[in-house]
Amino acid sequence: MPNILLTSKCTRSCPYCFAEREMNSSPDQILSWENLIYLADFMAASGERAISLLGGEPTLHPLFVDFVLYLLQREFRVNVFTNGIMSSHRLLELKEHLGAVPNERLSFVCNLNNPEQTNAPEGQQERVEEFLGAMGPLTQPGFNIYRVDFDLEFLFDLVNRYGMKRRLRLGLAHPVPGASTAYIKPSEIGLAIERLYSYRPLFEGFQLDFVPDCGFPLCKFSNEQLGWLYRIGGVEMRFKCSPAIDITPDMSVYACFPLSNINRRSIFEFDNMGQVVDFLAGTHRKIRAEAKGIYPECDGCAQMNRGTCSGGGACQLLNIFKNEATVRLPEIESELKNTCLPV
Amino acid sequence: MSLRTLVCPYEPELINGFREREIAVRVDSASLVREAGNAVRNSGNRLLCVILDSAQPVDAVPFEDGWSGIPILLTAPAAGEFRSIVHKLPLLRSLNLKIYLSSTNENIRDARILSSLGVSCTLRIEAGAVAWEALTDLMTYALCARAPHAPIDPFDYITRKYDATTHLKWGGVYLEDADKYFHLDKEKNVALSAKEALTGQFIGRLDEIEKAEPEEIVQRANAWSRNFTGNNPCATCEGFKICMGSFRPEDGKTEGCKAFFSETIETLGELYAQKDRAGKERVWRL
Repeated sequence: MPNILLTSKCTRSCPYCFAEREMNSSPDQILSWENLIYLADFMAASGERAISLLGGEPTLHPLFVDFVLYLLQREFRVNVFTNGIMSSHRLLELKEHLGAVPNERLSFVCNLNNPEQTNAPEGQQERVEEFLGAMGPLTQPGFNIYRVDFDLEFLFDLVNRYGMKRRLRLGLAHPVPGASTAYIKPSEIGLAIERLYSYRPLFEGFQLDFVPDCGFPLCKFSNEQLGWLYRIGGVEMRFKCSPAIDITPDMSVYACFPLSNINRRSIFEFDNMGQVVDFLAGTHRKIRAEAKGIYPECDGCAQMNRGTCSGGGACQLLNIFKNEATVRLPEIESELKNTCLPV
Repeated sequence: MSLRTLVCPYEPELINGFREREIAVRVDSASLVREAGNAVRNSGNRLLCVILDSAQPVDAVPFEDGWSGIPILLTAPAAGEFRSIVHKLPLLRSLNLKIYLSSTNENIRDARILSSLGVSCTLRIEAGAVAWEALTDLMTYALCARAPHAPIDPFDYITRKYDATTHLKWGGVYLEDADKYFHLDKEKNVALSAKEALTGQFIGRLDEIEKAEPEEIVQRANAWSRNFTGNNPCATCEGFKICMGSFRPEDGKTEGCKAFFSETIETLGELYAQKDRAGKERVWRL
């Protein structure tokens, strides 16, 4: 499902923000009607029937409600990634125009931060809860792990109080070349998973399951943890990293935020989504040709050979490359030049 | 002389005075659409369409299920708010409706939105009041977009009728073609466009004109040829074939219209070349 970025503005400044570099490099961009229609045509002609809307914060786009209504009219399933922080006026619009749209056609993923662990201006948490009060049943909770001592308890409470969907979208914060955002290092992933597993009674008690987002390595889960994951989450376990396909308001396309400067192209260079996916998958292949995964043991790993695990995120791999000799493909080397990641 | 289609106001007495004519009947209230359409059909004439001149934007027009089966030409100043129109889309798509908008930036954008959602639109291109650049973008969309969309005129008409070896008149899209349409007032005075009818610029009475065609009609039909008798930039413009000098701004700045019509011809050329290539590459058949 490709992601369309409606705006480069955001109401929050999360310490792990994947989009920070992208947002800073193109402030004040918003998607136009003409470009939205082009993208809808492009997706429809490519056989895509689902679209995700991202930002920045997509609800900041002045035509957010109209754009969602338009895409629904074009018979797309629409998924909106939001932080839930919006003006009362915008929330009223959402309730009035989108509140009655069936869940299978429109859904939200609300990215939640623990207010005690992630500083936020006063009043933001109240805004998030206002949003959840209005759109909770259409909304899936989302959480990004950017520190190993993360605390999830607040989240179960929100899911329960606002009748949110009982499936958590759980992401690992990844390094973004050229940005100094917080992220989980490869050596910390096991600890993060241990921490996650400690919430097992709460996941089971609240009947909340979760879907690991990209970049979780399979080998960092014990067999017991995998069994638990399977039992609460069914078959939707992913240990992959593949191009998410992000399209910006100025119609640039790239694999994902952390890789936004590698093989970035204009969507107008492609005839269909298949070509975009092939091209950007090629970027991943080039990176993985240098190193199979984020751990030395990834090389020769049976799970990688079977394709059940990608060996961590491609963005983590770039972080490994940065102190090595300049022998790589020009686009990777040029990206590494801008990299100042803590190892 | 061929009988023209008559564009006349909704006056039952006037309409009943004709037999076996093609008539486009003009109303200014949505409540009269069905009545006017039925009046023409019951009068022994053929209904081309009901023209509804709305002073309100499209989103405020009270469309009715009962209009289905009536060809409607709706002229409106703007489309209005998308979120209001969106609830009317199923009905709009079910009607035999064409929406006419002026060529402002906003209307050009709204025509693209409506067309992409299956509602047919026509943009009124008038000298001096056109956002040419946006119109060029829309032309590219109308001619080249691969996803299905409703026709956008005049582009759809031009594409269907274009012949690279000759010129093309397409005023008929606006019911303004001296060879095809007469615009009447209720006294049966004839004008050659809706605007002229509205401002009282008549060329004579219908019965007299249909007996002997006045010089004005021939002059109007051949107005394009005057471009070649003076030092006129239109005479050397690449886009003349489909513009015929009709859109030259009064201030003489022809950059916008020249770029637009030239690019339209170029795009049409590519489209037709593609079709030709597709034809040649077909597998042979017995």
